[in-house]
Amino acid sequence: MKVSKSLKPFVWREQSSSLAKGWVVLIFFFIISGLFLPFVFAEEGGVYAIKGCRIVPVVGEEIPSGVIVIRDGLIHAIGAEVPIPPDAEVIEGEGLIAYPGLIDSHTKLLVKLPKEPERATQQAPAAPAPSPGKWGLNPELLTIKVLKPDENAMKKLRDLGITTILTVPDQGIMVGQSAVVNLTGDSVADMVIKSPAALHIELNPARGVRAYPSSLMGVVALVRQTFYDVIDYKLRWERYRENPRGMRRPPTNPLLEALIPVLDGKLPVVFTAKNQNDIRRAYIIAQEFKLKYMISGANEAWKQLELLKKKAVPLMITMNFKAPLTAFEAQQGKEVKERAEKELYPLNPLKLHEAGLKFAINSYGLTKPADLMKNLRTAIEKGLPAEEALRSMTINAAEFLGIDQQVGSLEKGKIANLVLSEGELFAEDSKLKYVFVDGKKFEVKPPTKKPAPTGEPANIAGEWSFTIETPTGSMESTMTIEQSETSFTGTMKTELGDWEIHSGSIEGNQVTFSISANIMGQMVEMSVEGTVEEDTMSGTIEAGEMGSMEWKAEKVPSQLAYK
Amino acid sequence: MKRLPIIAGGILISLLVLLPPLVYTAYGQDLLIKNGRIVTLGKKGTIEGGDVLIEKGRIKKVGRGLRAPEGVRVIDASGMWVIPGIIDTHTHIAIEGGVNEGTNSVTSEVRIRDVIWPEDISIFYALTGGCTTCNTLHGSANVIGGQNVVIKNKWGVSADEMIYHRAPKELKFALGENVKQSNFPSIGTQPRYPQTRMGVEALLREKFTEARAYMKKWDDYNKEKKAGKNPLPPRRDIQLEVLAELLQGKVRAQVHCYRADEILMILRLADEFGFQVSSLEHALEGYKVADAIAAHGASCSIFADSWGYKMEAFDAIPYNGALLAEAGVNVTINSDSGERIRRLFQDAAKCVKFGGMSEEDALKTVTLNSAKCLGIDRWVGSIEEGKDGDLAIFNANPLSAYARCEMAIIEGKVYFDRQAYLQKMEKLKEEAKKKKEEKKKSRTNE
Repeated sequence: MKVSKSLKPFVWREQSSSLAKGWVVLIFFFIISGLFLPFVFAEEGGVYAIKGCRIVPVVGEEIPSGVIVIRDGLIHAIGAEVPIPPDAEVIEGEGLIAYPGLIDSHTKLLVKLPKEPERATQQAPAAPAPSPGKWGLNPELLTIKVLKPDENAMKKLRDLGITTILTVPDQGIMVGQSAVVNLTGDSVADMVIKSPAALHIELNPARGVRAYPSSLMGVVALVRQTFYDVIDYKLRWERYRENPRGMRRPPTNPLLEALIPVLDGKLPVVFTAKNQNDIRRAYIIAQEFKLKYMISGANEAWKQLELLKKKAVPLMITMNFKAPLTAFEAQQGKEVKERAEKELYPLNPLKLHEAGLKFAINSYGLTKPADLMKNLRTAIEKGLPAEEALRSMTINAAEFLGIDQQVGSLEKGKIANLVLSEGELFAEDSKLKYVFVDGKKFEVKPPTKKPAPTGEPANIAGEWSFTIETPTGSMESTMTIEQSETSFTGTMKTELGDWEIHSGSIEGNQVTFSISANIMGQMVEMSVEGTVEEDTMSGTIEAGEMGSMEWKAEKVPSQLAYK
Repeated sequence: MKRLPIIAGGILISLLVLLPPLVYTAYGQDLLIKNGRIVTLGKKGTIEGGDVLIEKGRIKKVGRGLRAPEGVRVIDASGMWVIPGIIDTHTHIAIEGGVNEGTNSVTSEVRIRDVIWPEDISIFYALTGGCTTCNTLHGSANVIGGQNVVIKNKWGVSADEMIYHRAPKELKFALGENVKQSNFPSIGTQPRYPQTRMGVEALLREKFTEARAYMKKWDDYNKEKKAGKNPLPPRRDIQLEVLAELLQGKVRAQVHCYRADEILMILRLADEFGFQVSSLEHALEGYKVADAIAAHGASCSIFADSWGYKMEAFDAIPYNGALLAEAGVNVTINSDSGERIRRLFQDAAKCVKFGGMSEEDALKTVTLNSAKCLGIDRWVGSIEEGKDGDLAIFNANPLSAYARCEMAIIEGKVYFDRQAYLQKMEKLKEEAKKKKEEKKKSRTNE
């Protein structure tokens, strides 16, 4: 153990080998090497000097041409006239613009929950005791305990300029305590900036399982009752601790214990608002228990401007522009819904900005991380000032999450999370060159093309029998595709109703498309990738909560005979 | 004398505190309706060629030859029938995320007001039939469903603005086939208790007893606290809390029921535990026990003529309403549907056909009686000075099969105007047509 630890400074020892005579010196070196070990690790991020780049620090004045020195994973120096340290690796920043690394203020990326049966079932104590047991209360779940640093997934985000995410599961009601992490590191311990960041509450009824609460009003009631239980629990323990003699000790309950900091206002609550009414619900609950709270999601915040203006609650809005099922626009048929999603929902950030409200931006509900930037660009096209968009993904998010001393701007002493891009960050033709996370340099290479499309796009029009391998067994359905050259749409007849296939595209034998599935009243977006081989197709589906699943499809023979 | 400024200050402060609610209630608009046939359903009877003046959402004056202050919108109602806005005492519209919390037999902790869905198109449908207020409540999947809410059908506003805060708090109960799950296959291995009518009664008794014990716990706590001790407060239980309020008379019960035996059961239980049944919902066999209902003072919120659609509806008769009214019961007719809510006036007309109610009494079953049933008749239900300016304007006698609602007005604001709506639709159609043609043109040009 001791020997292996001392391996690293051997290099150093070689340089001074003339001194190394005898065991005494060797032991002396063992001790010294132990002292130097931390420095060796800290220096791993390297020393960099980015020279001659335009600096957009978000906080403070823009610098037309300056130097950023990164050392120890931090911004060591920044400014127009900064000497370049001799040990630094110099990066020519001519023609590049430096921005703070972007923060995605709500996602579930990197979260890997154990499969259902392995999870300990959580039950709130005492009445109202529903017969089959309560569902969805996991306030004591720390996201860092279920985080898997998946390098592939992190790279995808870094390539978009995102260096930091708030991540938390999204299953259940009190889904757990989120973590803010930097997107680099071999272990979770290296990545965490803040944990717990907040308790997250989603107003999700228990679907499909016969458990309380099966309705939205039941969810609200359960959340309220749980907070009353925390009040009771806290008081009982306080009394007991004051004077344990002569008092029977109250039972311990980790669920309620985890909620005490929330009740005390030490840990904020993030309510996910899936429609305009959830904003009001969050407000009702937060007011009743005087919670410190924020609202995330809220792509219908523009419908509740009056309430939001009065409350000045931190808003972390999603770039998901899908209209919720409850929207009036969604009840008026496909055409009206799609028009609203194109013309109204992307205006959400602009309307908030015009109302003088501060907000952060996130990818909640989006299946593809790339859609976050794509949709943000759409919002900017619709009039959201680019500098506001930048603030919302940097300093605003950092302030809301209480990490503005660490990230969110390019300032001396902050964590070296930055993006170097050719052209304005949110411009259509901008190209990211480098992304630094925790002072570690990542070069962004232009996306490697998939195996070159072989010849003509495959013809997949017609009827297919489609099989999804779900965790509970395979699900059969019939898919009908209408193709025009390299794009296609269609429908999927399943046992749960008709689902819509959209945004389909074919390159050679590679297909990608999305499915808008209505699963028991809840809209689920799935993104599908696959390969065509004559009369069969196969690939994977990313289906939100349900995770990744395999699929295969076979052309229905009658169609073949016809052809 | 030194106290005077303090008293004056106190009065000023209390005025300031009182002011916001006063301002809040003056939310409505000004409006004058001229030359209509005003069916007031109040002391003034029916006024031919009458006017209704609404000021800040309240009815200021009803009579003839009224003049509007400058700038106030005037609606000419010549040849039209102006009636009080229709009130539906039993619907499930405007509820988001499930009408039942059916996993438990007792879910008094859930509240409809938490899940109001202001974008439900049924609200607009209701307006097209002149319905301006409705009581929206839980389904009947379990014995105690939860807390209802009375809303005004203000299409286009947010949930908070729809709630009618004056309506007393009520709790929905259900009896009979639905709660014992006669017509539902039991999911899983364990059927939900109760499975029989006697089980329903036993469960209610058990819950009320629990609620009494809960009340006592709090009473004891408050007593000890008053005595200067430092007692531990009991755990707050939002399910039992509302049941305790029911037993204290702060909350009233709305009970879904069909058969005479279960009606008698709940009335006896109410007398025993001392709570008020404000209305019996559906009460298809109400006519059999009309005297008992009248004695308790419960309203009956019924269908005009639905029967035989399930076992417990076999003894229903269309004369139910007339017979109940004759016994002195306050009878109202409900829709129980987001679609039939548009035709409540026609359902009211059935009371004239079956049992020979007077036209005015028939109309009351969907207006004034409904307001009484919900405990809001001081403010809505008839066209009288001081009440809310909620009106429905019909092109003919609303009890006629040819009647059509032309306008629905809530607190002086026009929320539905058929002619304006049709014109708007026409315009949109034309615009869409033009766009299509332009597209075609540009395509052929290419």
